Amino acid sequence: MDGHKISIDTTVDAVGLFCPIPVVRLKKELDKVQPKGVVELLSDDPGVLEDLPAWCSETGNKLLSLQKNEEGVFIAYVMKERI
Amino acid sequence: MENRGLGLILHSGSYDRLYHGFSICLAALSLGREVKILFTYWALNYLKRDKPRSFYEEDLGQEQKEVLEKNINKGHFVEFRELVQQIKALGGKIYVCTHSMGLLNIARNELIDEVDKSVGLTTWLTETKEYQFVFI
Repeated sequence: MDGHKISIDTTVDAVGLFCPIPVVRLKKELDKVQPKGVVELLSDDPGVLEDLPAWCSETGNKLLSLQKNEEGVFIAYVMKERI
Repeated sequence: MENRGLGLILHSGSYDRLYHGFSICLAALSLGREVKILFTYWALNYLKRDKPRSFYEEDLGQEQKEVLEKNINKGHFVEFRELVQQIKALGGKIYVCTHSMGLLNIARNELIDEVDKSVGLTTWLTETKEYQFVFI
């Protein structure tokens, strides 16, 4: 996010869990936060690279960023847009 | 395009098929789609209240079994009953086929409480008229 710090409401640690559980857990947490709230998702399932943009596009939520860290874990920030 | 529902018919008693069918349902529910699962034939055995079928009884090769057991222990796999609860918590519906129950001599009260209703095919097709279908 261009060096700007993202304010996170909650984190979903889905490391070690297979598709589609990372997305399922993300949805559950996003349902709980207020509009414009942000959920951080940690996952080592490479499926999230395409699944997350597809899920956000289909459900109307916003993928703020999706990056892989040094340990091979994907870190994504998703903002709740659909109320 | 409208958000079409998903109608999944679970027929096989193989754990891998059942498990993957449930994964498809969870993905669909996460996309905000309605999901109705119809259990028929051998898949019904997993819904039994007492002595439900489990993947351990599967006729798997030793090598496959070891891989699965290892990953279950690592937390990669989720037990069947937990999957059912996840499906229900996200709004999925579980139906059972009256025809199969008659053939296999299974009564409604032998099945777990998570089952929404037992239906005939006419009801099923009427309720899922606009849905996308998957048969496993």
